[in-house]
Amino acid sequence: MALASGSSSQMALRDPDIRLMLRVRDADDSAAFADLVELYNHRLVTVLQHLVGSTEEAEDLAQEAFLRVFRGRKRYHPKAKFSTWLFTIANNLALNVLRSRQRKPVVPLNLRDSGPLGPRPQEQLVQDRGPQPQHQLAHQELSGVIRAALDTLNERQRVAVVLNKFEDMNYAEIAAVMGLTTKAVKSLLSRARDNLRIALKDYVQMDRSGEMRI
Amino acid sequence: MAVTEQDRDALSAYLDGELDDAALQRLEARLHTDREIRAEYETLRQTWGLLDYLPRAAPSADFTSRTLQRLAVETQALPRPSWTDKLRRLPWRGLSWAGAVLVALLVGHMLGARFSGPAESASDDEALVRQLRVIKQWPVYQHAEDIDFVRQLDQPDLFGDDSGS
Repeated sequence: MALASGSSSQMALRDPDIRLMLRVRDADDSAAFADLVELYNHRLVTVLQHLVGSTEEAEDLAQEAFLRVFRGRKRYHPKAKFSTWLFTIANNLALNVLRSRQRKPVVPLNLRDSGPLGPRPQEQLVQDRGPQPQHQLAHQELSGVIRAALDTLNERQRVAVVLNKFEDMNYAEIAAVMGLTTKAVKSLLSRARDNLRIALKDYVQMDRSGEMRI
Repeated sequence: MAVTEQDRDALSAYLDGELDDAALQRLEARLHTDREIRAEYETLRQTWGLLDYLPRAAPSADFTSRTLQRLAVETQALPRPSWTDKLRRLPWRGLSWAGAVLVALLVGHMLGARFSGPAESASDDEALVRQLRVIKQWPVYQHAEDIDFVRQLDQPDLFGDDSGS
């Protein structure tokens, strides 16, 4: 116990976010909580938006994640970085949304995006093929294509990709957030990269020497 | 040499900076000599780079204030449900039994008081009747110094036959 509290205090000294969270835990300090929201809202909404697709839904989930942090403040023990705890909560919320969508699929409103009457994202990728698509596609269209490619990943691959790419988390941190081993994370990211490679192969062109041609 | 799944795992970990020293040296040696593995590396690297084209969502400007408002509403609303929760969590079954026993005791006490009141006064009267002789003689007994002397006065032979003659 003494060891645990000792390591907690050392960790708190190193991580200013943990110090803020300890103020929230021990003194119900709403100013410290506001600081944490201010510090993390951008990153959290970005990650959640990449996971669930919609900015509005990402904001709602981010807000809920912060409120869960406050509600769970008395149970908080600084075992890892504060961000790991926050993103674990956010990841669980996002997975609930994604799984709920799988159970109750949302009826698409835009026939161009997906659905029985319009091309599916992967079909869209095929239709949009051209000799040098990166030159032809506007930035926004390219975003749509990449978004569609990201959506072809399963939910765990997507979480691993988003945390690695946009939060710059290493395998150990991703493993902590997702409740997996680092080996499993390594495998998830490798499969995800391979799936993305296949989905986006027409947007990456190579010359004979193995160098990319733009 | 064809690129295997194992190669892709190694390339992915290499791109993430997660290869151990031995694996890192092996892979870098191959990257220098094997065109296919180099092409695969470039494809994976550039594919990963395409993710930068994804739009970065920005939260609304009032996100923090809205979150704090929602928190304020929640924390203000918390005491009421917690009180009702506490009330709901009380051991009502046990309490109702205890209440019933209490009411029974109270009723019993009230009834007892009602019926035992006259009985007590009756027994008081009986005591007065029993002690009537003493009470009547009390002014005389006050002059006696002790009870033994009074008992001796009650003995018929104390004054001999003179009393009767």
